[in-house]
Amino acid sequence: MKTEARLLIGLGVFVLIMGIVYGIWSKELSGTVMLIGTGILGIFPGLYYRYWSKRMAGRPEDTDAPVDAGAGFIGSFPGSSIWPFVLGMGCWLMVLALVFGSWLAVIALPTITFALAGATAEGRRGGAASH
Amino acid sequence: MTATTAPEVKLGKITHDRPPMLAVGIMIWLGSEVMFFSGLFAALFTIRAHIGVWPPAGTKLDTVQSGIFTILLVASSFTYQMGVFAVENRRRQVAKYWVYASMVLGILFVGNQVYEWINLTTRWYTNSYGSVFFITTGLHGLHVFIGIVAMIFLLGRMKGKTEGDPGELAAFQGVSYYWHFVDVVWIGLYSCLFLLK
Repeated sequence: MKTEARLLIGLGVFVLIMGIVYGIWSKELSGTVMLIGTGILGIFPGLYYRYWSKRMAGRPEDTDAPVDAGAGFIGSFPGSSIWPFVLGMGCWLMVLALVFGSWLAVIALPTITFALAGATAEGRRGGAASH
Repeated sequence: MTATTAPEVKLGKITHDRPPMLAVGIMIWLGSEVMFFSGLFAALFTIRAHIGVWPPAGTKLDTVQSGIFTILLVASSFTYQMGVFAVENRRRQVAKYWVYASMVLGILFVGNQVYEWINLTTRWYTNSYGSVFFITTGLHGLHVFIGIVAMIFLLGRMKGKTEGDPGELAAFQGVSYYWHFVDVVWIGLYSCLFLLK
């Protein structure tokens, strides 16, 4: 995780410094704000990786390990699921509601709610893969 | 403690031995949210640079009232974090109460936002300050609303007394990252819209 942390924080700090230089030089706020935001964009996940790099042993990909060292438990993943499709349909209807009229939102909102509830409940049960 | 609690086996704190993928995804997504709000702040500062007096004459903002609700929103971050500590220590029931508390505080905040929106004399068409006020507080309010919806879904996921949902802690923490982020953004927005003269 150290490499990711260094890359992200390094990039973030670089942009942050550039943002400050830009701000002092140009005396213009909106660009400065965006550059500082970009700096945070790098530093924010970077610090998260750094936090973890100190709390866990190096992964196989952090060292010169053979490929099979990465075998074993990777993480818990959702199984195959219909809910992302339903959610997509709901979002699609929602965008159509902006074009053709708000009555479509009456169909879209329950569809989105239904899909989110379905996906959340499935996450709790472990998804289709566990059946 | 009441006598109703069953004798439980001490299992110790739940921890992750590696960052949950959900959490990494949320962190990167929050990075994009930083950029989203940076755009709004950039618009705010651009408009501010072109107005002589900030806020423009005739703008009546209730700084104290909004300040109180800002404190409530900040408090909700703390209550939610208490929930995270509770769920880490396997006290799921207590954690749910903390989520309820955070939800109530969040709803109070959105309620005040709606009240402000209705009663503010400056409208979105009054001047550019009005536009930027409504777009920033509106999009932030939407984020708070989404956070409350996320908490409702989280409570739905945590329904019942049974443990063993492997993604529960990650989901709980994921909502917490989002909630703290929304909170911090509001502190920035409040400072720029209400306090900055």
